[in-house]
Amino acid sequence: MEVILVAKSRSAELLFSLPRLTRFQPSELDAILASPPADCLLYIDLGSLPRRGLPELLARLADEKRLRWAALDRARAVSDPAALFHTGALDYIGPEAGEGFVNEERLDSVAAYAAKLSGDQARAPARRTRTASGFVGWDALSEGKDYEFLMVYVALCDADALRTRLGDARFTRLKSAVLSTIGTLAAEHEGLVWMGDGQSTLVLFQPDHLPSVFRSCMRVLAGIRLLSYEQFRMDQDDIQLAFSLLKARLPWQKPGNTGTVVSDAINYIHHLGRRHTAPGTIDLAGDTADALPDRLKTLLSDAGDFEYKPVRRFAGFVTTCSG
Amino acid sequence: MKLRDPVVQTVIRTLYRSLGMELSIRMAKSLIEGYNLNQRMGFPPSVPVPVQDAVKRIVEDLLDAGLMLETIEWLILVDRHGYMGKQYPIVGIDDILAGMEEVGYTLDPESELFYEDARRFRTPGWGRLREGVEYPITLLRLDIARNSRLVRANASCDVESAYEALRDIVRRLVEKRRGRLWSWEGDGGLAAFHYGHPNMSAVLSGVDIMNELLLYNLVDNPLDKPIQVRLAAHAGYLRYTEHQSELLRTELVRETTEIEERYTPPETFSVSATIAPHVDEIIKKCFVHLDSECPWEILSYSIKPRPLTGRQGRGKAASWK
Repeated sequence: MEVILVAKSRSAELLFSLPRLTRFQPSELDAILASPPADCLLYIDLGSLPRRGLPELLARLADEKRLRWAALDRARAVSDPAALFHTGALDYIGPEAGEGFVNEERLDSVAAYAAKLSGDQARAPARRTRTASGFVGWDALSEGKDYEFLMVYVALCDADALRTRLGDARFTRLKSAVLSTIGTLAAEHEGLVWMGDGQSTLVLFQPDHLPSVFRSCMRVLAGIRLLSYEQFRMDQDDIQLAFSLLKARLPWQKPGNTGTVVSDAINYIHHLGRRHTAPGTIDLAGDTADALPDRLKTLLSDAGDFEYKPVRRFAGFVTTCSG
Repeated sequence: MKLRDPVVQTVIRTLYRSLGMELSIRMAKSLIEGYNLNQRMGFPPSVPVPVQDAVKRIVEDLLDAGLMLETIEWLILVDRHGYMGKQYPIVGIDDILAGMEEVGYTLDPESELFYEDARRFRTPGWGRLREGVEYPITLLRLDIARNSRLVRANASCDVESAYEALRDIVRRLVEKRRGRLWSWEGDGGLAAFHYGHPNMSAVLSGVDIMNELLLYNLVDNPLDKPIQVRLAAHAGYLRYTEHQSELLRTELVRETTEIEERYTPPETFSVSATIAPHVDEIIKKCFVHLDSECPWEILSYSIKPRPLTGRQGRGKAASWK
């Protein structure tokens, strides 16, 4: 759920402790009300608006059935906060609220209240759903806490040779196209592109998504020549990708904030991807392969041990020209 | 399209404001051979026709002749490239384009021709092929090899589900590249490509179908054996008809079926020599020449999992192409 704040001053943002918050100026409120974004919760700072216009605004908000909104009233502009709820407000933040008052828990309470109020889910903000493995969504994870993830390390093979052959500008475009393909793969399975250096990318998935993620990696390898031509705009040779998969517990940090993460599992998968996984193949380390259905396990062969962990490998595909 | 459609009314206004009488008549003559406005309106040659009435009549005649798409394409061509070396900025061309989108057509930037908007319509003739007219077409023919054995050895619900999955794969990958599935007969079908880069699109779709089917066989196929297909792409001219049975009797369809049935081994995609020169090098590299008695030179593609060889190191697979 997207949270939008309409406030004149940036100081209002301090009340929020959310991964994503978008602030608009009061002058943009009309445009937002004319076409409210889907699945958003709009916090309106009443102190940023002229008091004379408030009754008219509240009447308009009361008529706007599609919009979920809440009031920020640091200056106590409203004498009867309960009246706001009668006109459809879902939350009220008074002058006593301190920094970070509106956090994920608060949004959960707002969502529960909206659902209760409407009697159906149509008008309620999206609730987080808990999967079979207990995963509740990336935004709900606490930084620094350990969780079990499926890590997928994707390497662009022979990157230095490619850079030399293509030149810097084309190589940069190629990296961006590869990253976009990896982003699509991540999005298909509710994954998250976690960290990368342009030539390799580490993507996190929920551990129970392993079979479908493995299948998607196979699809990328089978279609690498079409991808090279249609997506990566290669005109002579295709590129090679290599996938390394590991299920492990890791300390969670948001993307972009992973510089301080210390984890054996992350070191391991980087080493595995760089030193062991062959181009055009998928390696599954440790007991990761055990979680695959039997039918997929039969496609794997022994790829030796790497740093004291057994590795199982899907050896890729051969085509008429490479067989 | 009908005369009262807003886009047709815009075209009438545009002719009047941008082309005038003389150029409007020239346009009509370029689209309808021997077009004579005075004769059609019943005016003697010496009597001038009022311009507004004239352009309205021209548009009505073009509409009756089923040439509205061609008329608008002519206007776009003149707006972009001029006519006989002279520039004629066409007033309202953006409105016409918007109007065409509203009635379900989009302009293909490569050919500058209108085709149906695939998000709204998917007809066999792309919304523009006309009965009895010959067009360059690239065909992709698919047939399940050893179909009878699969049907006998498996539960009918599994066979139905697997064949349905195959049809979905083919339809999705063909339509992704602006092709159309012209027929599907349970154990195979025929797809057609016409605009953009039809040869390349057919070849890419064929490769994609082989790859995707292999993945389906490895992971999802409920049958006791893999579904094996013979796939063939061939190009040529075809007289279009909306009657499927007639379409399937055309020479081009017969040739394509012959390449598929007689010269394509199971689990193989064949591409005839009529297409090969239009295939880009990076894709052509994954085809090999197939030695056969086929009257057309055939390039062939197949894919399979790399055989399991037990213990593998990095060096071995690094040479994979």
